[in-house]
Amino acid sequence: MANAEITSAELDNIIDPPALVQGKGDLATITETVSRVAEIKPPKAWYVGFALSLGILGMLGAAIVYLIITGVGVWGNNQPVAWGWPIVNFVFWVGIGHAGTLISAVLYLFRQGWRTGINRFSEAMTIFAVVCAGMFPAIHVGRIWVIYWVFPIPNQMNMWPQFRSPLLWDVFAVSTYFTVSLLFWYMGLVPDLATLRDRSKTKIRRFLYGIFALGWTGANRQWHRYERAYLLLAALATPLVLSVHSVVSFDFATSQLPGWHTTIFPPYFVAGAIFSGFAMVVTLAVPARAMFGLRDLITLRHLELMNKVIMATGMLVGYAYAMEFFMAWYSGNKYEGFTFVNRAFGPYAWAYWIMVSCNVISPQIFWFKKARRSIPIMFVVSIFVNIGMWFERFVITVTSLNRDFLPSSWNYFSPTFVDWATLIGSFGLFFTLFLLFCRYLPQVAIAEVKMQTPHAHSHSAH
Amino acid sequence: MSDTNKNYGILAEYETVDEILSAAAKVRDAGYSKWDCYTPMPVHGLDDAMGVKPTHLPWLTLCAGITGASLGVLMQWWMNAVDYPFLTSGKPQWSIPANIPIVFEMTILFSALTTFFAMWIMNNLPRWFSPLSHLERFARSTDDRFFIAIEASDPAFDVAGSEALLRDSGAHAVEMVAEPEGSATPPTWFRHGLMIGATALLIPLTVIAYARFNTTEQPRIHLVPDMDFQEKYKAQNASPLFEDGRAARSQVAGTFAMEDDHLVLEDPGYYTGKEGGEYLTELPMPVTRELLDRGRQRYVINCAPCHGYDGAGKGTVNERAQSLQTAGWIPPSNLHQEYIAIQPKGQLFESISVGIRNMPGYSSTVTTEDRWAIVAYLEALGGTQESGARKLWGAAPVVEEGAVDESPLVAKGRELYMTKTCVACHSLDGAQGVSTSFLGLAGSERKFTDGTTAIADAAYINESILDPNAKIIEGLTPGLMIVPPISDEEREALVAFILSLKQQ
Repeated sequence: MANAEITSAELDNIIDPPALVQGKGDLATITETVSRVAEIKPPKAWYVGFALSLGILGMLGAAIVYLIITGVGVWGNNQPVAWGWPIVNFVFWVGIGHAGTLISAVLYLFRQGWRTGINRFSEAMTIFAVVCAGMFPAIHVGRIWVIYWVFPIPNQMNMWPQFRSPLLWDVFAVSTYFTVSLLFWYMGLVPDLATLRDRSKTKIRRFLYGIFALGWTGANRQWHRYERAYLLLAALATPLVLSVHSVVSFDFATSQLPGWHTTIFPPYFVAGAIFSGFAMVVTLAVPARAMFGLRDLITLRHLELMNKVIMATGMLVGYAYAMEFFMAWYSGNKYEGFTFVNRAFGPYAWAYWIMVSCNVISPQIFWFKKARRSIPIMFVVSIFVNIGMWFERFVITVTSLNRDFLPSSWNYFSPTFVDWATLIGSFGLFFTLFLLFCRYLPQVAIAEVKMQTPHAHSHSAH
Repeated sequence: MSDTNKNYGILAEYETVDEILSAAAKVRDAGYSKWDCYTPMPVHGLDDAMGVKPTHLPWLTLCAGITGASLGVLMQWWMNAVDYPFLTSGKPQWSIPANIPIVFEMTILFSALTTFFAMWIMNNLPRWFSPLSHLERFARSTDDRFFIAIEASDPAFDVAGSEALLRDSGAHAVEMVAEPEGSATPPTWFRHGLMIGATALLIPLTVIAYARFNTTEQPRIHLVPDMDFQEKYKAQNASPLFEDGRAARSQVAGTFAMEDDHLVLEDPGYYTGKEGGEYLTELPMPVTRELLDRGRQRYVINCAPCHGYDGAGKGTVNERAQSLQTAGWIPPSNLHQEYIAIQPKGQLFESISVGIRNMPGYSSTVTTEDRWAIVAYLEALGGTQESGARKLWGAAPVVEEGAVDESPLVAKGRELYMTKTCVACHSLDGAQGVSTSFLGLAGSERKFTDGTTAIADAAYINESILDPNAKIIEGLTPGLMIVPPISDEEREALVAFILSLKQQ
């Protein structure tokens, strides 16, 4: 051996990485491990978490009712910061909603077998995050009862939407994304729902799972079309996921405001979305795999691979932060220059440096293998990244607006208690949905994980 | 074993992928058509072993994608360019690039929906009932066992032969499946529930349809008065927000203009090009070689794209716009035209700083010092021009008094030609600018878009200033000419001036 320091165990690890399914790993065990979660009473922590989430969801409902009957003046949005927290929260949530489709579609096309452990989970996260995201533009229009104007529906005014507005592109992109993510997720669920149906002990479970399993029997002629449809949806969802956050970034980039009007926004936003989405997957997967006994299916190797993605995308957004400053200087435009100096050293410098520390510096610890495989470290970093990515949207939105061209209009944006209640409340909505999913649906794609085991492959053919 | 007619078919159970692959090949070779393998996950190689042909699903997806894209284009074109045309800052009413995102999303949406639903339909799903689902052993088909079922309706099916085939194929168990007695439809309460639910969904639609075709005399219901009655400024009304009712506020006392972190009043000539309301006639700094070099460099970066390297107004942006025949495009000025060449330096500086016509101001991208450098460079650039009036830079005034015998009225007209911006579009040297040159206009024959012609006499010129759109000369765009407010005497002077340019 050229390098005597490599032990034979490490060499084995390089040649043949640890299996994606740990433990006994036969087909029946996989079925049992995942299905059991939906069949037995959940741990106490689930009830505590669910009660808490429901309470926060109630607060969200109250905040929205108060908003609608009073008007958007209850928020902190005011000139010059007309786009405040609602947009920040929208972009934050829709960004998180990118990891699921990326994991299920892009990694599928690249034949990354490790996606199977986490794809169901992160697709669910995607859908719930997009639900939270979609809420913000809907409630921030003020007159929510005319929200249907954003759709091309014939109306009494004989008017049509302005299709050249990026805000309308957003409507189409986000609603298409939600629809396609939901179809993709549900299609993946059907064979697993059939598994739960066939394991059902009570009539009512059999009936309900049976309805949603659509009569799936696992016939090979069905699997054949199913797999082809899955591949097609993956191929469609891949450009879609890249387009959605690009379109979201157009909301900013097509304006002429210094700090927003930059061509780097679409790739920068997409990288940030993947970054925040993966961080959220780690944040959710770490407690879930412990709480529901899924350690053999969501292994340390899965988490380590995700940490690598987090580190890579973290450096991409770091590059974008630096490039924005470079372009502001290189353009020679004094307003552009002022905006960026104001961003890093102005009244919101604290937010800017929180963003940089959380997003650029904290993931650097993943250069060390020990840190990538340490549960406490990755959990803390993933929380940091979530915080940092929220602040990124805050910094982009608020610091570009708060000091506009007319110094007499400069103002310091502060959120009101309704802003806070809506932001925190959106987490209530997210976790309520997510905990219901954990309780009643298979958290791991049973059939897909089975395909990653030796039991799914012919041995005589090799 | 019961009678074949009452059997659904025969079911064989296997434990591993290898077993089912070899068994499937045997059943295929025996010539069966109505049979299938049941596996807990997709088994690769089973399609070949069974002889399953590739599905046509991708073609459906492709068709749906094309439909979605076409509908996306058609919808946007019809809604935004035909039925309700949107005019947005002079942009074309129909332009493909701005419509691409929605076409893309529609393509994906249609393809995905079609893929999803077509897959279930082709698979004969959803189905309430499977003849195999009541078998206890078959429950493991979604867990860890593999099955082959051959239907009794298959022409090659015979009880003994098929059973022997499956046993020989290595099945761990083989059983006949009786035609189940259970109902093939969902329970009655479920069907009724679905029907009631579907009917209830029609209620809101009915209400909307009723409201759509009925009017009411009742006043509007104000659910949220805060949103309906707001204190705000409305056009042509007094503002309720200020005591004096004015919406446009004047500057607060003690407001001073700033430029480059300096008070403008420290050196108004340098910062604005004006001193005491008069334009500076000379640069506020000595013209040096460095200044000219700097001016040239800044000119090439900031000005040349439109005005061209030689300043003749033929930059690449203009050439491109001309080749596209963009409606409403106002060409960049030839900087060597008389009216520009004679402008005081301060006026040139002001035009660069705050913009003129459709040219934006450059005070944010070019520093004050550099803007003066560009003004200095323009003079040098003018000196390189050879032909006639183009050598005018720095040699104001153009028309030396007494050189041409002009009546006071014509002289006043010439002045108005400059100050009332006629000069921007109408040249005096016969060159076709945005519009007709005034040189030789009087007395010539004009051809109009409606096919008629007229001789340009005093009455015609007078009318053209009064109502520019009354008659449009062929090849020109209506609505482009905007006349600044002028008095009758001024119009008279302008007409006299234009008549004086009659060619002999």
